[in-house]
Amino acid sequence: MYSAIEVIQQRRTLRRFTTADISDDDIQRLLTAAMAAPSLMGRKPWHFVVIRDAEVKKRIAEAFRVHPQLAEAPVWIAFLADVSASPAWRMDLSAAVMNTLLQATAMGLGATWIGTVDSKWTPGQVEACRTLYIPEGWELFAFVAVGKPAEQRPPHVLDPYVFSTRVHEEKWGNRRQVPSPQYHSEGGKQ
Amino acid sequence: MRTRKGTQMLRTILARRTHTAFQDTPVPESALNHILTAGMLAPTRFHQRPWHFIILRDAEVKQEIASALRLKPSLAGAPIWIAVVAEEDGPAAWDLDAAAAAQSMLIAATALGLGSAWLMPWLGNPDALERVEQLLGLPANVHLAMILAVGFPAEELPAHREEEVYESSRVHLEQVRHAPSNAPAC
Repeated sequence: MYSAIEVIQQRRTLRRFTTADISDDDIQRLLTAAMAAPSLMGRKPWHFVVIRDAEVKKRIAEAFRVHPQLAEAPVWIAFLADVSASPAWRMDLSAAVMNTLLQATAMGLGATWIGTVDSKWTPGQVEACRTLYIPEGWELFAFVAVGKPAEQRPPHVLDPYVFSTRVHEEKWGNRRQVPSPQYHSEGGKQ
Repeated sequence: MRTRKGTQMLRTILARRTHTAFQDTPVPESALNHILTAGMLAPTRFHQRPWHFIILRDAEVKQEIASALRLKPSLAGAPIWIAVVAEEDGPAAWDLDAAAAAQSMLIAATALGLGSAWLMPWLGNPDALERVEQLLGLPANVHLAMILAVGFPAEELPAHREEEVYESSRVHLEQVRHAPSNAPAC
């Protein structure tokens, strides 16, 4: 199970995908990962829409003004939240997206998180609501674009500056002095 | 296509369970570094990286927070707590960025054989939250998002089962399937 650590390092945000379709079995595994995320009191406020229709992806991508290449990913998964199900729906959905990104990376797929949650009644939200038929009381939390990567990006190298400034001991401001051992000599580029 | 790595990842994701009792055995520094690294490699909106991580090991501090939050006392027995806190970063995405980092850390912890719990028992209780933020010494623009308890589990919990986790009723194709009375909001 140690290889999960490697996968976490390999996960990168991708923009270019091949047009090769993703199998239903693969999508089921991605969504299994999403649904295995922890949620407050186990309330699981999530729902998913699997979108393959090229026209729909294109229209929604345009309405949200996201990078047009993302619409070429063969599958978009819409992450929806039933807001009444949990007061922690934002965090629960975030954890579900994170699991999906890691599972996709492990499967050799590219996956990109397209955040939409804070843009209520923007053209993108309205377009998505009409097209996906999102009911009252549900929020469109995010899309995840999934496909076979058409670009390779090297694994993450953690900026040692970030590592050394973001960790505190016992109390805010008491910075931890130990540098990140495994990445320390790798330089600072993300 | 089923790959070995994909299968292993799903196994790790399914093995993550919420633990409430832990062994005293300390968490090795190298494991803690892996976990923190996993948190900091999670994506953040506009690459803002608003999070900070406060490592709590002091038993008295953990107990004080646990009692302020009325947590199960055994949770304070986890050798390490990681308080994930975040600076407000313009559009309010700090909670999402913190949650993605938290989940990444829990997956790393699971992969390393550690048990964990994601705690935020202050929802709906702003006084308790304020008390804990004070104990942590947080400045006004920094918020506590969640506390992760991490340690070797006192008891091995069985992994979630794939066929129980996947609920096809939550998966819709192209459009949300509606009950007839349930009109879209737009």
